[in-house]
Amino acid sequence: MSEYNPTLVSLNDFLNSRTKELKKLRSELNTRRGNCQLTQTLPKHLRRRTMSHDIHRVPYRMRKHIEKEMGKNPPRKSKLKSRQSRRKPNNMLKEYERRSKKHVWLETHIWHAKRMHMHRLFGYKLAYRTNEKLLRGCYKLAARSSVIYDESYYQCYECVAKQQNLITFFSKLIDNQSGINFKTIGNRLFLRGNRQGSSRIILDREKKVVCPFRFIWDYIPFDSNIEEYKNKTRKIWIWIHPACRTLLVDLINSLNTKNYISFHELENQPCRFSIIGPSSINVLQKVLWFDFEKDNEKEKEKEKEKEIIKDNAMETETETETETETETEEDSALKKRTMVWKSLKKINKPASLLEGCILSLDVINPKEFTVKRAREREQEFQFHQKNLTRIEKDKYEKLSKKIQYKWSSEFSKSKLWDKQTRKKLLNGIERTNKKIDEEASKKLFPNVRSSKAYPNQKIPVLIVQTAGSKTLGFGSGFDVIIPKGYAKQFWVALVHSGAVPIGMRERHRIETETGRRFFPDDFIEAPSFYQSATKLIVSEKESQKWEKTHKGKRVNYKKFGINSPFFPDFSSLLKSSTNHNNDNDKDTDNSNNNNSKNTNQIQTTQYTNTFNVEFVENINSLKTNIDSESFIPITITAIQKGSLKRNAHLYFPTKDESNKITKKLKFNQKWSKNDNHCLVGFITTGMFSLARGCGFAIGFIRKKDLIKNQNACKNSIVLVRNTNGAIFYPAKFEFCKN
Amino acid sequence: MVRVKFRYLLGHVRWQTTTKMNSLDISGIYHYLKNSVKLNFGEYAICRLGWTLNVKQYNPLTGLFIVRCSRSQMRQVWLSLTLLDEINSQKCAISIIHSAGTIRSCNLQAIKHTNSSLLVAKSLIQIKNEKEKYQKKKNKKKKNKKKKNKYLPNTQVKKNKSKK
Repeated sequence: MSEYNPTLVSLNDFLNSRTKELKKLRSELNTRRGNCQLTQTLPKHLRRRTMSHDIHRVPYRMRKHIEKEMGKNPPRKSKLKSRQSRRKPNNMLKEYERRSKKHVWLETHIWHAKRMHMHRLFGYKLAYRTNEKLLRGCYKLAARSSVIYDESYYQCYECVAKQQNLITFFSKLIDNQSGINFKTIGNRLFLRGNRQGSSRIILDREKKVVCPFRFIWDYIPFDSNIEEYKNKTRKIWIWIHPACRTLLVDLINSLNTKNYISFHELENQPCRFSIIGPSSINVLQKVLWFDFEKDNEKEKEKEKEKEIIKDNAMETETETETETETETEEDSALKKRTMVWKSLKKINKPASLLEGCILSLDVINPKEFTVKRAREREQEFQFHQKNLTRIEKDKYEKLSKKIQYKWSSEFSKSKLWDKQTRKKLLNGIERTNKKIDEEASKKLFPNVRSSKAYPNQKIPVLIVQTAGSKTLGFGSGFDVIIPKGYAKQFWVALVHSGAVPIGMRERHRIETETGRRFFPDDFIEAPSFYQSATKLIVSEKESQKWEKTHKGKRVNYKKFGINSPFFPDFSSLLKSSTNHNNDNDKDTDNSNNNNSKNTNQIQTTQYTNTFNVEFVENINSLKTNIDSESFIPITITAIQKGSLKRNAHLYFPTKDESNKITKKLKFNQKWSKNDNHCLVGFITTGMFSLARGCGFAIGFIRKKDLIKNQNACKNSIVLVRNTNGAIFYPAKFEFCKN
Repeated sequence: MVRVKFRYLLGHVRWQTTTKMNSLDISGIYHYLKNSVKLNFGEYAICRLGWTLNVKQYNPLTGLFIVRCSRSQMRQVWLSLTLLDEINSQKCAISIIHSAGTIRSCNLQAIKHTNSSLLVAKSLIQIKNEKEKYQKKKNKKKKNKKKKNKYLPNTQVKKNKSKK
């Protein structure tokens, strides 16, 4: 060791290096820091909670050092009030306006957010399902009482032009083969504005994008001639789903180069609620109240006098008409509407009215009175109990029968079509709400029905009838169109009167029970198929759950030969060859790469793909153009037991199997790797239908396979295989008409 | 969960020659350390050390360094350090001054060590200064001998500062 002692030492170097080292060591010792912030080096009795974003809480001597650190990650500057004031409902709405660029809130959002699960769909925040379990219970409610759903996310567009120009413009766009219930915009049923129509628009011919929509014409008086109005300017209101909104706007702007038509979004869009069920009339009559008693006081007096004089004589309608004085058009229209409104009590179901008929009413704000709960069979009871004269009762009974096959346009005249009325109503909300609250606080018995309070302030409301299934009228109801700003008051009143609120999942269920397709979950011919709730919410949850579970405890989709277990993959059907054996080989080859990630990749790259859909009445009316690949929508009902589930595979049976099924023999067949059945289609929505008492589903079949197996399809039997297992369920199919 | 505990070893490198080894890095010391552990204790010891072996600090001017190792393998690392002869084909000697559980206490000991070495230097400087003083004094005495003949006649004893 002594050998390695240096013989010479330069003092300068020695001293300089040591002094530097000493300085460094001492500075390090003074600062007690590891991986911690400067504020954490303080002793515990000097630390404060808000030091991280408030410099004034830091001791003075450390402020400069900490400012440098904060300069790298500056804290958020929040000019906020106390937390309590921030969370009041008025301030919540203002905060929403900041955030509303991406996802829009409906007017009834806060009410829904407390009671339902909200999801982001189509650029809106919508209620997907209730907090309660209502999947099976909503059928009972829709069949016996009433159910309410907020549909105000449908966008409304206005077209203004001459009548002829409008008809020719839209005749190019409309899909000619939109089912059996094909009606153009120019049909006489709709031109007077007394009924609502629905059909389908072709948004893109190359990609074959088709989308359904609803429309209403402007008002024309009953007596006038339609041909006089050919060259007069008229309006149409169109309601379309927000997923197809941009495509519509682009299409019409591209075609409207010469300003043929003025097409724009409605300012101050009205809200739209859909009430379904037989007691929807009852519910509406409790909420939509206007003082028709006051208007008809004179008539009542007259009729009472007549009864005293002519007790037994029969009176006709003509006598009453001749005795009326000269009245303005508005008063006469008012009278007719009140008559219709009263006569509606006699009608049991909304399905007995004409499809799409429109009623307009001027109604008092429901905030002024408490709403009583509506019972199911109450309407007839009330009708007989009230102090109505015999003459009135006869009138209403006759009217109620007349309405069911004839609906005049005078019932649909309303002030909602005016821009200025809508503006006034919006601007005057806050004042009216204040007044109502002030007056109610002064009264002894607040919220008693008193039409004298605000006779001037009447809200125009449109009621539109919606059709249900054709067999029993299940799913029929009314759509209520309310001006902007009053949605919350009407909603709360309707809920208090007995209509049960539901979300999108339950609405979807009710639509499939009627046998119709629900947009966008069942519409392959629009790109919104991949933005629907089933894709974004349901299938994602299922796939995540499947990935989490252990391999030995989850379904082995590879073994069953299913490539896309969580979402139907129609593009794979188009790619497969005509040879059936090769199809099975391809499935097994692809099953090696059976991960949910791969399926998601396929779908995301082809999310703009849409598939051609054709409607068919009979097998005999099938066109034999095999070159055009298209799908046909069908409704499937199970023959034997078994519930048909979403994303199940469809196969055609062989002759022997179909014979077995028709003879009602036991059919037990299982799938194996060397199966000869050919894949034909998929199911998009499936469930156990409570209306029918068996499994029910809506799906799509490829047209090619139908044409080939035409002989086998005479019995219209199809085999269904759920993704869960390898069992085939026999089922009957029919062609869908919507 | 039980904590992983380390030991930090303060060491001092002395070179045979006075050439400045500025090219030596932390990674160089680590490399030679590992080889010496392998030589003396085998691969089993290296695997037991694993990721815990690390050279934290090294000052090429003074030769002080700090090495980290796990608590159970401290003695082996200590031994292998002392048995290190050559680094970069230059002979050297390593002596370990202090072992501790934290770097902070190692730094304290380093301060003490440098202070002690500085005291030595200080004492050397004092000796030097004293020597110089003594020599100065000697020179002064020689000069002052000429000045002492006061009583000689007709001698200009007064100061001839202007000439100087």
